[in-house]
Amino acid sequence: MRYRFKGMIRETGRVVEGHVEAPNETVAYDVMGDNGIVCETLREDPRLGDYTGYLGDVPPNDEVSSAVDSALDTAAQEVDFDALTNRFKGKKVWVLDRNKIRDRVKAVVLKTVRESAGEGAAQDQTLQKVNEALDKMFADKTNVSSEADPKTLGMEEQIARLSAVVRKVESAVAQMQAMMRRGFAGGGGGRMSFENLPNRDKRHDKVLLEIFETNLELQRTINEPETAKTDAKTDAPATTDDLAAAVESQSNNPKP
Amino acid sequence: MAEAKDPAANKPILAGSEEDSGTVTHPFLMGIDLGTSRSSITAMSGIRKTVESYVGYPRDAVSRKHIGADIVFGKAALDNRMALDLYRPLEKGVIKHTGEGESKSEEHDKNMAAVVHLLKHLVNLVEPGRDDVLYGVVGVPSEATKQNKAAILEATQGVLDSVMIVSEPFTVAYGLERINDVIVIDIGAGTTDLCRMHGTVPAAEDQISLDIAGDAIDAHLLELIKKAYPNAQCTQIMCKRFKEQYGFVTDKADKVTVEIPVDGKPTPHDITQQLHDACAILVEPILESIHKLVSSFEPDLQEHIRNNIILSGGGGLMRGLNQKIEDGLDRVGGGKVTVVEEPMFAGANGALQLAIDMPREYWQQLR
Repeated sequence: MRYRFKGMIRETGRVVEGHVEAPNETVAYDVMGDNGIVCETLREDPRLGDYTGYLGDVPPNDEVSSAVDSALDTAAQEVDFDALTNRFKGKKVWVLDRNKIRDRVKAVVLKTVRESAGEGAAQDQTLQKVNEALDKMFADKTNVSSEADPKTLGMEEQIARLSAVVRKVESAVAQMQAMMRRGFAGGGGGRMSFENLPNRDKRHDKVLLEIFETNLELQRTINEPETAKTDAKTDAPATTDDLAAAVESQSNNPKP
Repeated sequence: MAEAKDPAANKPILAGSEEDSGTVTHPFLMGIDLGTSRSSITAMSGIRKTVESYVGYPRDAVSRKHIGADIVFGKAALDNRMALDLYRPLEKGVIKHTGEGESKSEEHDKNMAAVVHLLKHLVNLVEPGRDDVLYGVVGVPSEATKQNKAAILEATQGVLDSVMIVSEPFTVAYGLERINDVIVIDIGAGTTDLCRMHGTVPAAEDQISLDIAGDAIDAHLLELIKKAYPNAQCTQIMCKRFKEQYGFVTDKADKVTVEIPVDGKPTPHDITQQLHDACAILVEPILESIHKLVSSFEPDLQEHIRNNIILSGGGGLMRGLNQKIEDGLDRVGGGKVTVVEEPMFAGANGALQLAIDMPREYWQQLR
C-alpha cells in the first residue's frame, strides 16, 4: 500500500511531504522513523493502477475517495481568501467542487473499469480507457466545479446548517421509532435523553400527581423520625414563635 | 412602537445556557421490577436486563480467588452457591425482615446490603452515563406495607438520585395504557397480585395480594415428587427449573420426563401429573380473588371488567393458565383473560413509561 505523509526532518526541522510504500500504517511509521522523518499526518494513497485488481467487483468507496482526496490535497495551494474575495467581489465565479470531483471521478473510474471487464480487455487497455474517460470528464467544467457567488455561498452555509439539524432530528426520530418498534427492547441504537424523548403523555397527569404525592408523603414519613431524633439532640426551638424569640434574643445580645 | 427593554432592570442578563431552570440536564430514566425470583430493569436508552435475584459473597479467600469477584449476582451466584454466602434478599416482593414490628437485626442489615448491591448491579447493566442523574420507578407488590416501601426507598438511596415506588400491577397496566376498567394479575415468585384499575391510582380495596405464587408451586412440586419418587434427590431449585421449562395447567399435555438423580445417577422421571397438580394450585385462589374484585365493582361495569383481565409476571408464561381462568370464570358469567406480550418485562416497561411521563419537577422535588 502507498501512503501519503506530511512531516518534518528530525535533525533540521524542515517540512517534507511525500509517499511511502508499506504493508500497513505501523510499518509506514517505522520506515519514516528509520529515515529520520517525524510524521505529522499519514493517509492511504493507493495508486490508480491498484484498482485494476478489483475488476468485476466494486472497489470499496472509501479507498477511491481517499485516493481522490489525497490527490486534491497534494494539488491544492493555500491562497489569501480575503484577497481572492476582493478580487472577485460581486462577480459570479466557478469554484472547484471537491465533493463533485470525488464523486465524478469515482463514477467514471468504476463505470470504465466495469465496461472493460465486461469486454474482457487487458489491464493496459483498461487503464487507457480510464485515462480517456477522465480526460473527457475534466474537459467539461460543470463536472468538477459549481457556480458560486457571495450570496449563494451564504445560502449554502445556511442550508448546510439546516441539513445538519434535519439530520439530527431524523436520527432522533429513527431512534425513537426503533425503540418503540422493539417495545423498549434491548440492542443498540443511540442514547436517548430527556430532551429527545417523545412528548410525555399528559392524559394521566392527575394519576401522576397522585403517585408523586404518595411518594412525597412516604419520603416525609421516613425522614420524620430522623428529623425528630436530630431535634431531640439539639436545643433548637420547637415553634416559629420560639425561633423568632431566639433570633431576637441573639440580635439583642451579640457575641463579643 | 414597542418600549425598549432596559437590560439593567433588576435582572442580570444571562445567556440561554446560563439560565437556571432548576432542572438537571442529564436525567437517565429507569423502570425497575424488584422481584423475589427475578429483577428486571428497563432504561430509556432501550437497554433492558433481567437478573435472578441472588447475591453471593465469597466465603473465604480461596473462594474469592476461585470466583474472581467480591460479589456475584444472578445465575452465577446460584451456580457457585457452595462457595458463597448466598442471599435471596427479597421475599414476597419485599426486602426480607422489613415487615411490621420487625426490629433491625443482623439478618436485616445483610439483606439490605444485598439489595443495595443488586440494585447497583442492575443499574450498571443499563450503562448510565457518568454525568447522568438517575431517576427510577420501582414496582412493589400491591399490598407492600409502608415499612416495606420505606426499606426499598432506603436501599435505593445512594444508588438512584430520585425514586418513586409504585404498585407493580399498576405499572403493568400503565405500560399497556389500560388503566381503565381492567384487572391485572401479576404472578411473581413470592406473591400473586391482583389489582383493579379504574383510571386512578388503585386504593387498598382495589388490590389483593396472595401468597400462592411461583415459590409455593415449587415447594408443592417438590413435595409431590418426593411423595411419588422417595429416592429421587430433588431440590426446590430443580423444581423451579422444571416449572419454568414445562409448567402447565391444561387438562391435556405432552408427557414431561425430567432427569433427577437417584443415588447420584441421573434417572428419568415422569412428573407430568405432579407438575400439573402443583401449577394448578394457582387457579382457584385467583378465581376467588377475581370474583371478589368484580363483585365489589360498579354493577354496570362488572361485565366489562370481567372481559378485561390481564395476566402478567413469570406465572403468565405458564401454558394454559389464561384459558383455565377463563373456564373458571364461566361459572360467574364468563370473562376474557389475555397474557401480556412480555410477562417478564411488563412491570419494568410500565415503570419506565411512568418515569418518562412523570413531570421533571416531581423528580426534582423528590431528590
